[in-house]
Amino acid sequence: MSEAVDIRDTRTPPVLVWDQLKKLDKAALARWRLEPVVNGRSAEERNITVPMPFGWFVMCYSDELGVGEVKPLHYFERELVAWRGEDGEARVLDAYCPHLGAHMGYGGKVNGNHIQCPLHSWQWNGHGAAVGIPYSKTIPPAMKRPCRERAYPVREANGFVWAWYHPENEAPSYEVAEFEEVGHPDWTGYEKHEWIVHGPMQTIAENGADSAHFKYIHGVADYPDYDIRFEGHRRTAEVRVKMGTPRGTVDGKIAYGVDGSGQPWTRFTGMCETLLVTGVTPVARDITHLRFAFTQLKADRDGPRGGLARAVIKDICKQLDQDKVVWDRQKYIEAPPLCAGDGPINDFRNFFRQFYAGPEWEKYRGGIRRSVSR
Amino acid sequence: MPTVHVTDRDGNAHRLHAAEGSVLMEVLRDGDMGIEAICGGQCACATCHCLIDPDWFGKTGARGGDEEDLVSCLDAYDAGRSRLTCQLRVSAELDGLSLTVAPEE
Ligand code: FES
Ligand code: FES
Ligand SMILES: [Fe+2]
Repeated sequence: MSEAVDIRDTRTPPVLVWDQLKKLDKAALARWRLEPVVNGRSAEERNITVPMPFGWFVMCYSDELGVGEVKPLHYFERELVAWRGEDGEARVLDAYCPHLGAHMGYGGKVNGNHIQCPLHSWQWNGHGAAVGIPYSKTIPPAMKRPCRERAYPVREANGFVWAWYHPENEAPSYEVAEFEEVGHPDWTGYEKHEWIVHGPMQTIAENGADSAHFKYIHGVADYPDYDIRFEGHRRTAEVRVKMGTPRGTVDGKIAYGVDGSGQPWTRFTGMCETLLVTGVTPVARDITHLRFAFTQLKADRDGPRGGLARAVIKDICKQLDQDKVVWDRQKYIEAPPLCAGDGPINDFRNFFRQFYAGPEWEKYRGGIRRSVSR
Repeated sequence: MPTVHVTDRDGNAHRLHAAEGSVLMEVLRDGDMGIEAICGGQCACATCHCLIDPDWFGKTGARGGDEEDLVSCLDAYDAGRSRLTCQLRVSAELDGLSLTVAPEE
């Protein structure tokens, strides 16, 4: 076998960061993706000054929360509890019971559509209001009111449970996009992958605008051509790539979009129809939970191109692994000295800043309207 | 110092002296009138419930929204007499106020 790397081949040839990971077997790699960072540094030491953005964020897959099930979660630097009522609806609340502070994610149980606290069995609805106390005729009036600080708006779409996070508790300013491929009989069920990235959401989202890194960290042979559009809360891009495949080079198209800060999706067309639905959820300002959910056209996945279909997913996950090696230790450079060829990183940041709450970010509200091509 | 006339749950009459500006619930609780005041005056527990004599009821002012919400759930609720005493402050106007501690729920 020849050692020569096809210059047109977009699959990853040896790059430095991959050397750290290629020795890991499948199970060890899956572990590494979620493990704490050895010699990791704090948000302060890494100058991670950007806050967590507001938006719709994945709490879990829909099938991880059955009817009557309770799930403790930790996102947004908060303890949360999710449950699904007997009506089938998912709900998310601050985990700490306002009565005497019990964590309802551990030992709490579903009672009808409400969650019942383990400590004194007070029942709370999805709006954060107390609806029953088994041993008292009265409920403290202040506890009977819906509570915006403690209750999260919830949606269910694309096989995920989404919660709206806003540090100042403002109501949702846009809706969760739905994809018809998900659950469609012609498309496969999700293939799921996940990572805990020790970096802020902004840095992860910036990846697509960072044109130069594709070559150096992912080993993509050519700079891809792209069209990036920024429109209000949505950012879309089309990237045209030559994809090296075992059957030669194919003109591929990657269309990606992000709604708000937490809901990116990517459509691969050309060689194997693939939709990647991504869930990006802030755990803390410097920690992000990332989920990749792939669905592919069954005709591709189960047909003669099945090997290719699997390779596409493998390669995308490998790129994420490569990025994670850097993200886990990366410092935030607030005003980077960008050079020609660096891509629309500043446009991206001006777009992303609209998702930060507070007066100092007000001037970015509404986003930017711009198209950038190369 | 204003005086408050209290009938306790056993029907015994008491006269309490209360400083102006003090919270009526605290006066009754500290005077051992059998007021539990479990929530400490947050308008959460309704265990400071008293029935004000009709002659005096109007002088205590109107029940607040939360107070009404809470007290109206009680068996002993009397729209023309019920007050949560943690929501009342003693004033010169209330000198001579007369009330009965509501029965335990
Ligand atoms: S702490 Fe939850 S019911 Fe008491
Ligand atoms: S002391 Fe609890 S309601 Fe008055
Ligand atoms: Fe990347």
